[in-house]
Amino acid sequence: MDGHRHEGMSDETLEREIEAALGIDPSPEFLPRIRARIASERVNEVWLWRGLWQWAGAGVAVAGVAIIGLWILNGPASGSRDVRVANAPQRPGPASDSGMVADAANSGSSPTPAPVRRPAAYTTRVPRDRMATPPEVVISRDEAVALRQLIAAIAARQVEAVDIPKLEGESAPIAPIEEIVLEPIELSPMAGLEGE
Amino acid sequence: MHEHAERLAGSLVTADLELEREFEARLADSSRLAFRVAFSVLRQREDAEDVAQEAFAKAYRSFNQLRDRTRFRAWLVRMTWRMALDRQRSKRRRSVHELPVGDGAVDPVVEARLHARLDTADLVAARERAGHLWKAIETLPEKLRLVVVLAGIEGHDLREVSALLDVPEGTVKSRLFQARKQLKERLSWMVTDTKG
Repeated sequence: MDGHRHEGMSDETLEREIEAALGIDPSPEFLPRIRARIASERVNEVWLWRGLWQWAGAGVAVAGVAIIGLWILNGPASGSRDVRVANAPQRPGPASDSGMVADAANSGSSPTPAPVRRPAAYTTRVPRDRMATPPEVVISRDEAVALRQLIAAIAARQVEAVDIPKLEGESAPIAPIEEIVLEPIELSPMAGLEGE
Repeated sequence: MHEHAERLAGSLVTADLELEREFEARLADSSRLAFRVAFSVLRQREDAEDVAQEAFAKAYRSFNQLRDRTRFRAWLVRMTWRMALDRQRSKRRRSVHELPVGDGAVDPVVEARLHARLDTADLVAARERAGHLWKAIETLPEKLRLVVVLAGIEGHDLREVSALLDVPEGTVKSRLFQARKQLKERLSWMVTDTKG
């Protein structure tokens, strides 16, 4: 071909041919392009980290808002939720009236003391997860604050328990209402209109 | 505490800078190698530069995870080779209309260089030879092909090729022998350039 002889190729010739075929240099813009690309990778990396930090910050903020919201919903006295309500001062109420509290030891009718049965609401602890659920009763903000203060005061035993009969005894008797006498109404005929 | 934090931040920045400097040194040292490896597969300058650039970007992203930095060149070569093969496959799938790689297509820069040295007849012969050589190289099994290419780039000897491929020197020698044998068989008819 092309005036050349076709004969076996030596290793050196083959090597030379391959080296010539591969002896190509990249364009002068090649290295600057790679450097620019690497620089953009750096920028991307910075943005990635910045984005991660932003997301993390947003997550923390949302968690904080959620915690504050829950704290507000549960009230500041949520730490005293575990206090048994049964410790609250006893009051005369439907429980004793209906005979649910049967204090057999005081009655002395039986040698063995009968177990004291209390309504479930007075003896069981209120679970925390139920505390987290929103209240079913809708009341105004002022009433909620007052209620929380009352519960906190009860938990701190700052409420003075007073028997209602005592109060009744101390209060002045209600004066009897006098009979209201209504005078009879007299109806006089109307004067005739002019022109009639 | 504050001093300790400052010292820690300073050491981190220094480590980062050192990493950057080291990568820059590796880039300057290995950019041509990466380009030629990519070119040996793709045989188009733009594509080879793109692939080499991608390989460097990928290397940059994982550079701090590379335990043995002296293995950078080997790591880069294998990565570039794989990426170039991927690009070649996707290109073949995508464009059936383009000039098939290896049909005597010579890089324009090489052609210009040859044109300056050779007359038209020799230029045609050189183009033809290069085309056939590439075709023959392309028919080689992948393992043999990579050995031939690496041995033909930058005058790598057996030890260097074995380091780049992370295989024993004996294996490289055997593969190179096989590859050359197959190439010579395929190119036996070709010119040995023994004019006169």
